[in-house]
Amino acid sequence: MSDLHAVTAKGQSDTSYLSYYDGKSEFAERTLAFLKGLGESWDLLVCPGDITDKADQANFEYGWTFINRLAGELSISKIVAVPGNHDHNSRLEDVIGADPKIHMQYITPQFPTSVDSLNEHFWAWRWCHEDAQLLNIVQIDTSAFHGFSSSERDHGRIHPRTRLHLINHVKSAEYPVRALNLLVCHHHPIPLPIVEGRDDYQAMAGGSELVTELSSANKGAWFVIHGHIHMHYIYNAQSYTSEGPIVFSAGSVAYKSQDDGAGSQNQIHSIEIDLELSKTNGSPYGTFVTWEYQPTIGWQLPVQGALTWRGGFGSSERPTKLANLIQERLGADKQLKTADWLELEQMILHLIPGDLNALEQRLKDSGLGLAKDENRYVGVRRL
Amino acid sequence: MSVPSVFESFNAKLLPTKQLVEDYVPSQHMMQFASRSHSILVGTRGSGKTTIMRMLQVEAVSIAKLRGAPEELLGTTYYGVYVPTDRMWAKQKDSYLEGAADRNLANLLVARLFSLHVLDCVLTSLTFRVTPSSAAGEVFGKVQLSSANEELLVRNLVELWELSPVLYTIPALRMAITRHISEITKTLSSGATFANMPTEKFPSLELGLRSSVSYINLALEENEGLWCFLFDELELAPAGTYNQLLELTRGGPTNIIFKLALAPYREDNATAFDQTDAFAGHDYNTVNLQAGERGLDFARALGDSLLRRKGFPGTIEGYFQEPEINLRTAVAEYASRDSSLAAYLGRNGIEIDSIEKVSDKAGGTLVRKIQKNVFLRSRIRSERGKAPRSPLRIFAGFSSFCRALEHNPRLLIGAFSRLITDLDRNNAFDEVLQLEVLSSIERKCSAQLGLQPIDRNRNGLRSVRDLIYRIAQTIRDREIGGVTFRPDYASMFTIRDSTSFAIREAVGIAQNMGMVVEEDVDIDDAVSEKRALRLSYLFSHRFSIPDIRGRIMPIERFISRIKRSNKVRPHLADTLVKALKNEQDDDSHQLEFF
Repeated sequence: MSDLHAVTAKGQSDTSYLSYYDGKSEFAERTLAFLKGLGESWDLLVCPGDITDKADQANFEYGWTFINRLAGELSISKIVAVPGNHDHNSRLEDVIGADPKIHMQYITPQFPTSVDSLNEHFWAWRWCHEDAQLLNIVQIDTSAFHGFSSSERDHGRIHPRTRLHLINHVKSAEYPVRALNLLVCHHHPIPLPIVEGRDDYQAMAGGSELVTELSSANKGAWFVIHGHIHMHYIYNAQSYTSEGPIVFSAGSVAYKSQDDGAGSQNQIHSIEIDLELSKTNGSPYGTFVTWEYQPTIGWQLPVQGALTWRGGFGSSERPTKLANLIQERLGADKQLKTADWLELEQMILHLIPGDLNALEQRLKDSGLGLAKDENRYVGVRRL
Repeated sequence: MSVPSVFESFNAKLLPTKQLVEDYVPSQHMMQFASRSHSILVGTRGSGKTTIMRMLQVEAVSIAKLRGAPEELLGTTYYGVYVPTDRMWAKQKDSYLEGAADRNLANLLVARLFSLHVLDCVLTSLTFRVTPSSAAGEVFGKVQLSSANEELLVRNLVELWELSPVLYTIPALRMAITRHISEITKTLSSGATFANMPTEKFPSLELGLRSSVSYINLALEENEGLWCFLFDELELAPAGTYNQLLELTRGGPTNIIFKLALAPYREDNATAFDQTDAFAGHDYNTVNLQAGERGLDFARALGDSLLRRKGFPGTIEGYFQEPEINLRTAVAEYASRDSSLAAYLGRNGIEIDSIEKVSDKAGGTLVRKIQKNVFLRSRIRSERGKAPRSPLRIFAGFSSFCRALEHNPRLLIGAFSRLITDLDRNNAFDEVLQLEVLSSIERKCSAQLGLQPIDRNRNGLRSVRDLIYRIAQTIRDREIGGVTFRPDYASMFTIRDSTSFAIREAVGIAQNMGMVVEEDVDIDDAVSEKRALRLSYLFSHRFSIPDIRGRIMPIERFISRIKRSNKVRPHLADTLVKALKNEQDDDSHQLEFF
């Protein structure tokens, strides 16, 4: 759940659905009820920042309290959070003792982790690492320089010294090999052409180098979750090897988009990662489900958007190869038989959405199509 | 490591099939139930019904045969389709019917939901069969299905069941079923009529199953393919389904076997053994998991398996401390203080001084028969007017422990798991620990009974727990601890036609929970009753009553006796109530040894 942009003042209710009046938010209650009603269990609640809007400290407290309440009521044992650019007081509007981050350092419950030593390291060095036994968790403050100069607040950054510090730590013996390494940061690490329809200047400066070097550190698979761009996207990051990180852009939970562009809806994502297969493959392997918020209806599976409600990552298959395989198995038959479909289904389920789109295009070029029933693929048909 | 609750046992329904097969402990009942005939399996909660049912599904048999199946599964030649019935679904079903504008239509739609659910289960098993296996060698149940045959099969099923998949494949058909179920559920939830539903064309369950299996066998080119439908928890299925399925065991399709599992008591106040036209023994065999001794052998096997999994050596029985109590000495000591007992012994030619040494021929057999009764009687009478003491050591020891749990697999697993965690600190299960575990289980079961209300009745009973406790108190205070020693105390009861519905239902609920147990007895004409029941031995240690069968009486005489004794000795009733209340409020037993 990213980019909550919690607000309280009446005039700001156009900014975010997570708006509080007299300490209460209908959106918060609806969201909690919806998640409870799913009857599922999660190990981590990830929040990549922009908990408040425009550094409002009271709103930050509301938003952070909401995150903690969700974790408590859903029995999620760990919250993994980082501050976003809206959480840092980068315009230094609190005149007395202005410090971009001081309100976050002293909040209760502690932020961004519940462990003193991790928080100390995070605020001092702008990153921290926790060995959570089954996985490593790395949190980076990409808004750390916000408030130092006016231009810094336009983008994220990981300073070269910080990057080196982190990479050296990851490569050291202190950093264990685990099935999965989870990296959470606010800004996207790699510029994306889809952002704002022009050259993306908001990305994390130094982010490309970071993800490249992390994947070369030989410490297992990397999964990066970020926010900021209010768009849900998933892609393979650049790497010197074919086992590069998967980058998951979490969109925004509650920010009211000013346009109806595809991918800008409000979303919550449930991600399931198979640690065993991630370890075996050297790359994160799993699936995700996305729910969208419609103001009059509430949370539901999306009916439109850049991504389907259900997708995956980690498949080692390529769209062209899969398309050829499908054609080979289909032969002259009208439809793919169940035995073949079930084998191919697993490969298709774990294609990242971009590859899935490519597969559909390749199949279409051959007069074939993936048959869907209520957003679920059920087979292959001749068009 | 946290200490598991005694109820942190497995639920067979949730286990992956591979693990189910790995953990399976052979059972004498499986041999009988797995036969190539229609069968009914009756058992209380946790008695192992679902494990047995699921072990017969084609996926499990396939895995078991690859790994060297137990003897009882080796001969399985049918393809089992497991059909679970969910408790949550049953509650939803009730709410649909209650809120329905058109109850007849709602009933029809609920029946259709169930039929579609069964069809989906068939397709699950079929999917397994047609999916190639990664295992080497021939795998049971696996078969090839060509694309053309699959299309033909699905087209036939689509026409039969009025479905609309996007493709004529099994996965697409399953998705269509899911979609259709969702549509019907939404309609039922809204209480609206389903005006466009062509209900008259939808096949009955019988026709649907018969035709579907025929189509499947045709597609698989298996003319003699024999399918077995394993309907679990049928007491939760739509009304009439059980009877409908029972009817199918008589003159039903020859390529289908029906195996039905249910709890002893059904909500329509029938029992699992009420019959319609089907004739038990002729059309189907009945396997009763609750009657008679489940077998210490089974408990041993279960416990040993758990020990091995947790990495401990030896046998489960080997870890149990056995109580060292000389019951004959107790009889001899007490006889000198109880004139009615002394008189009874005298009448049977047994001298008090020679009780400890008397041979079987000279009365030893009789002493052995009454010694537990006497031991408990002495305890009960010595406690009269005082707060009850700790559970008796007489109920500890491996066989007594297992008997208290009625050899119920789920309770055994939970209890053994709890005991085994203690092996980190001690190298044996001492009597204190054994009784603590039994007490914990009894308290939890009693709490669940307390949540089940009883309809208004003349006996002032408000919950099923009240009923159970009332019966136990009667056994304790009258039959065992009464003024006169009774060698033939009553501890079993019967339900008559004249028994009130409220009591009958309460007993049924307790029976389904395993807290009342049905026994095979010869019922004489004077009593002329249908069922002989007793309390679970789980309550024996709490109330100091024997874990041995006694004489049978109508249930009314157990319930009403306290009332009469209230009139005669009101202080006794008050004392008992106070004592029980103290015991219920105080969750920490201060154990002393008797």
